[in-house]
Amino acid sequence: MGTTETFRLDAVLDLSNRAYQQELEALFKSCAVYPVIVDEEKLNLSAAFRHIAEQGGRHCMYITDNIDASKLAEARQMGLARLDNVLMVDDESKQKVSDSPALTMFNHVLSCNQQHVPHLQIMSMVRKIRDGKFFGVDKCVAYGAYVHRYILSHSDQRQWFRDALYEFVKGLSSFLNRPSDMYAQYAVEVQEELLMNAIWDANPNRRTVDRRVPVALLPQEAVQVEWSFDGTTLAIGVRDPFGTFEAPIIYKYLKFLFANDRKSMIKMQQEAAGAGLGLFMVLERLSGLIVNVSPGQCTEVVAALNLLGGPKAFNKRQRSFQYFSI
Amino acid sequence: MDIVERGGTFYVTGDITEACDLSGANLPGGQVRFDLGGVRSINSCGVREWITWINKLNIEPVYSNCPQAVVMQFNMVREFLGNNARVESFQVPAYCENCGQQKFFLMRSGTEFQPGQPLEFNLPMCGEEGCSIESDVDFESYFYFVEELQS
Repeated sequence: MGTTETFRLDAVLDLSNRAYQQELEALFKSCAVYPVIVDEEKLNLSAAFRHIAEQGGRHCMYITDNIDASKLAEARQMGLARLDNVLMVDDESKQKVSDSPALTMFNHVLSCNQQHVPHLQIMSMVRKIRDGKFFGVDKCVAYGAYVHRYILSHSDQRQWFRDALYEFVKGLSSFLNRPSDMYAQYAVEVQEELLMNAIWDANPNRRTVDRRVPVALLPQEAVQVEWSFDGTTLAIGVRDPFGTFEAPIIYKYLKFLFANDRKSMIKMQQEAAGAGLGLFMVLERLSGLIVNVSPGQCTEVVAALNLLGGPKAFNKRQRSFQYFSI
Repeated sequence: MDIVERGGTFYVTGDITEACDLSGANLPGGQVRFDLGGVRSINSCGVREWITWINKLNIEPVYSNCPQAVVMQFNMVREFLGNNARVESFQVPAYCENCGQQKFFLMRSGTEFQPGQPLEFNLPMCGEEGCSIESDVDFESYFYFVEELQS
């Protein structure tokens, strides 16, 4: 009899909601991860990590909904070969995390504007950490969905990308059983912002150049674009070879995600109109945003748009933001 | 992006991007009427560039037939409606599942909406049995800019 899993991955769960913690304990076991629960009365953080080390664990996830710099520092000193800090942010825990400078100490952030981070997102994260494979839109759509992949080497090629994506999404109309031009507009505008970000903002040599001047990218500056649709989710991924996405931007994303209502979202957009407008344009038009960063090497931003239901429902739908620093 | 003048109105079509250049459109100074119905998308640099040209050419724009892409920018970028800009009309997209048709309702200043005042709007039924027409936008955020317009 063969084994389906040989790579050992451990987890320390340190969540404030006990019922949710138990739920995740079962979920992690289903993913062949055996979690140790932190309970200040029975097993504190140090003891939890010591237990894992004694069992031969070398790669561990520390999963928490609380930003505590001293606990993070403690976790780092436990001598594990690899530690992945994961912050879970949801409606329940959002007040505790906003504005905390220690937010940037986390390798990964899973957040959503609903009661809890959906199970599938957590399972997907476990898979990514276990496999060490974070990049690619194929991680954001169902298995089997075709991935369209292109390389952009000149800023003027964006016109082709706008037209091609617009037609691609419009072409889904018969499948969705309703006109899809509004989704097409959203998709084009999201892709535009991601491409401009990859061509200019991410590149330290081009940040301040005049964007009205078309630019031919050097081979080492080329941008990869991926699209995929699995019948529900349209994923648009843009990858640059710089890895300069700065962690403090996470604050902005989270604040926007957790805005109480549409009017306060608009106010935030207006306040940010001078800088970072593109960021808000992207966030308003999608269901999920995933940012994968390999510092100094690569940044991939994947926008996921849930196309089921009408655009009005789309505007009110729950959003998620995931950040992985690899 | 293309601009064509017909009967005193400047028709704008395509994508408004950083390449937006109004210098070659022979725009007069003062009040200029733009029909934006053919605008497909606007990116963040395109909005800024548009505003820069409107200011540079000292234009007091009158926007008509504004599609959703433009209305979203009205709500997001306050300066878009600066320089004594007026909104003559804008579109509200809607869809009826029953008849499978997409419809666009034109909201006209002084008729369907009053600048500077909150807008309440009920989509008219198409009259057919089982009409289930529903707007494709969230009115609360879509109509937000109307309250901020100069009355």
